[in-house]
Amino acid sequence: MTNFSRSREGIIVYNAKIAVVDQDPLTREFVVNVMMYSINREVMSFEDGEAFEAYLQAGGTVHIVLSEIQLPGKTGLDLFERIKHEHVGIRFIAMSANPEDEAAADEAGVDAFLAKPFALQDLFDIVKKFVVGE
Amino acid sequence: MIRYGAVANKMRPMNSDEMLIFRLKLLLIMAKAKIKGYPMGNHRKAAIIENSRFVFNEALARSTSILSSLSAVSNDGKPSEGVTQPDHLFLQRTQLLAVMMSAFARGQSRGRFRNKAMAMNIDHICTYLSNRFQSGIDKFLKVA
Repeated sequence: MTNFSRSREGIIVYNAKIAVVDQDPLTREFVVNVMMYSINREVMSFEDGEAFEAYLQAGGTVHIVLSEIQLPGKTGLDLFERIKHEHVGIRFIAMSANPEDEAAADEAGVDAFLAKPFALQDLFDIVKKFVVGE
Repeated sequence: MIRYGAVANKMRPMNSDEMLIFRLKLLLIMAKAKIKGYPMGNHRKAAIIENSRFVFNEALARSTSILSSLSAVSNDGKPSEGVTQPDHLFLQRTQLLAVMMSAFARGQSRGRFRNKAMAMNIDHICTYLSNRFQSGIDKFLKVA
């Protein structure tokens, strides 16, 4: 069951399922840790787009994806292109340390772009926007 | 598209020193939330334990380097430059906070005075951080 509900401010996702896709374990585990603490739910973690796609193809569900654009194999934007038609409700936040990726992310139509290095407050703002709906 | 994070001309990969500071900030928030009595679910407890482990290990690694730096003496008999006793104490207090939070999350530590001790520790860490951020915190972080 998808647990979306529209508030006056925006989208609230009850029992939000969040996935983090990043090949850098230092960043990935940090984002997972912040998200897990913020929403008090398990947060899924994937090293690359193939592993995340395999999870979805096996029937896994997710509401919010935070994915690095520079991934081994398929890029984060390739991943977004592949999942956006089949999983319409997914909110996709693209992360990158490369300024050239921002325009491509905007053109692809991702919901948000998280530029590295980011601060703890940026992750809290993402939770407020995409989970709480403020 | 909503934009978060660094401005375009400051974008770059994140390093382990930044990660220690970010995770320490997160641990301070976790500790304040615990003291204020915000609810701790199982996943929050797991997140606290994992974050405490990371902060403890990183602070311990830096602390070991700093200790050898502090004990090194130059030819004129003065301690070697670069790191100071407050840097060392900060890393010790950071490790203590990590141990305290891990114990709280595991349900092994309760009581008003333990909360008070943790609040005092948080105050010392925050005072150090605010002073260091004014003068540049990178000095001790460069000791590998």
